[in-house]
Amino acid sequence: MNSKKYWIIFKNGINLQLINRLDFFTGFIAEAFSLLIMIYLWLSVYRQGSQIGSYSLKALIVYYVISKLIGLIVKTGNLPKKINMIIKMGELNNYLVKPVNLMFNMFFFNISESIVRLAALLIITSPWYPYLFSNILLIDFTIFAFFLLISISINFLIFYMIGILTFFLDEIIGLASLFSVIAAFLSGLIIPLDIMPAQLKIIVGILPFQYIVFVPIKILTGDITAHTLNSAILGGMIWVLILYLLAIYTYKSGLKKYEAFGG
Amino acid sequence: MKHLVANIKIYLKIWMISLRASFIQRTANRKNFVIICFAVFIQMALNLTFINIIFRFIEKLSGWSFYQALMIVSSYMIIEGLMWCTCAYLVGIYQNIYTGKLDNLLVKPKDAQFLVSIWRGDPEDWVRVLVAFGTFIYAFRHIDMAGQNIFLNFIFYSILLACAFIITYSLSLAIKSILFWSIEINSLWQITENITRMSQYPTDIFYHKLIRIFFSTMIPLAFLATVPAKVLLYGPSPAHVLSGVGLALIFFYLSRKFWLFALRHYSSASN
Repeated sequence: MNSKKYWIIFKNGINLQLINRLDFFTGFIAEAFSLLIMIYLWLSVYRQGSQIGSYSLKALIVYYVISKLIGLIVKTGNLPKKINMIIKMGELNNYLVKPVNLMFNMFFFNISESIVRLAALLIITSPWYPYLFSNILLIDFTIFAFFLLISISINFLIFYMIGILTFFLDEIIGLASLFSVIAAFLSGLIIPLDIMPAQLKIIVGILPFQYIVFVPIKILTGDITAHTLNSAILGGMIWVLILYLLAIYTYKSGLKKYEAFGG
Repeated sequence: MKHLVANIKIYLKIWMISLRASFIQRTANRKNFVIICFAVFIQMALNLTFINIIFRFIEKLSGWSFYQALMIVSSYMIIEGLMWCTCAYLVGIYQNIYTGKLDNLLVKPKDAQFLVSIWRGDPEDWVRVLVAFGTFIYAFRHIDMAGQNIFLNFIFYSILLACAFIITYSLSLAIKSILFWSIEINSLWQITENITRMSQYPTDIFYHKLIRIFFSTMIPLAFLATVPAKVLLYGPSPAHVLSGVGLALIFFYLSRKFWLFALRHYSSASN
């Protein structure tokens, strides 16, 4: 893999993100509203003297803030729709005749978006560092940063594959919305997975979504034993591999059906 | 009077044609339409699962029992569903300004605000409304309404729900009108949705006095779902009904004024 061309794609992605600064901050305000409601909801629950699982009020608030941050970092935006249009409008021809891989192109572009969001979020949330990260160890933070790459990759590969399904389904917007709803819930973005009912926990355990939000938060907050950490890292990497192979297989099978209209 | 009735008839006809066009467009790919409907259903189901999980740990949420809280959630879901079905949260404003196609609507001999509002309606979101009604009936059957005039309560509940729809529409129109100054801010739809989404929980959870006042006046979240549900459960109070109707009128008037003001800044970038 020639890394220079992907470095240029990455840099272009960053520049493009910086053009839409206003849109980014508007999106951030929107997320802040939904975070506010969650915090008030749980404050209300704890004011009644209730306890949610093993979470203290502070632990739950920290969970939601970090989950929002991770959600913003890993999000793929309209990736499936973008791929859908590339295939439907025949723009894929440009990728086929150039030495650029569609998946890596999209991935590095996606990573550039994540980096810009991460940088902006680190600045915006800095006044709350003492509250959010006071109990977080450097070692946990380092493992978390590494695991975040796994999270980004899993989320990216799922939605990339949905986009690629355009080869077979023609229209994938419905599938993309279905998966984004399911991923948000089963990744732990809406509610911590360990307070879910037992039946749901079984489903969550066999799917890759938990590695997107829930597991990274547990790593960052240190609520994970060394043994579980090893299996979480291994599990995450296996899912990246499985999804990667599936994505390549789907793409290759799709190309056989591709009729290169337009372009 | 005759002229007004004829005008309303024409607008209703245009609206029906627009809804039909949206339906035909959306169902052109039936498989995709079924999947989108299923996605909407799953979203609603997971929403209710979330409420269910919360009530596994508590008896009441700021004084609201599980079934009472479901009344609030279903009221919010009805409003949200109708907003998507009828005007798709005014997504037409962004798309028409962005593509410069707003010119086409402005030159038509009908009100531009009306035309841009009905520009898109998402038929799959009727699933949202159906699930909302299902939840409403389910919750209603579990609530003891002894001593209440159910018919009267229901009439006022419906009036307040209509007001909630007007308030949500007006808020959405006012926020989206900002796009006339900067088309970059595509995330504005997210702000409108996230603000109104806050109303799916009892506004009593906002125990800080200032925040409560803010969410009753500046952004009247309380009147989107909590107040209608209160009226249904405990009967109408003049203060609730008059405030609801008054706020709806004020918000509609102000958003209309703001829309017309913003429209003057439309520069017709392309077409």
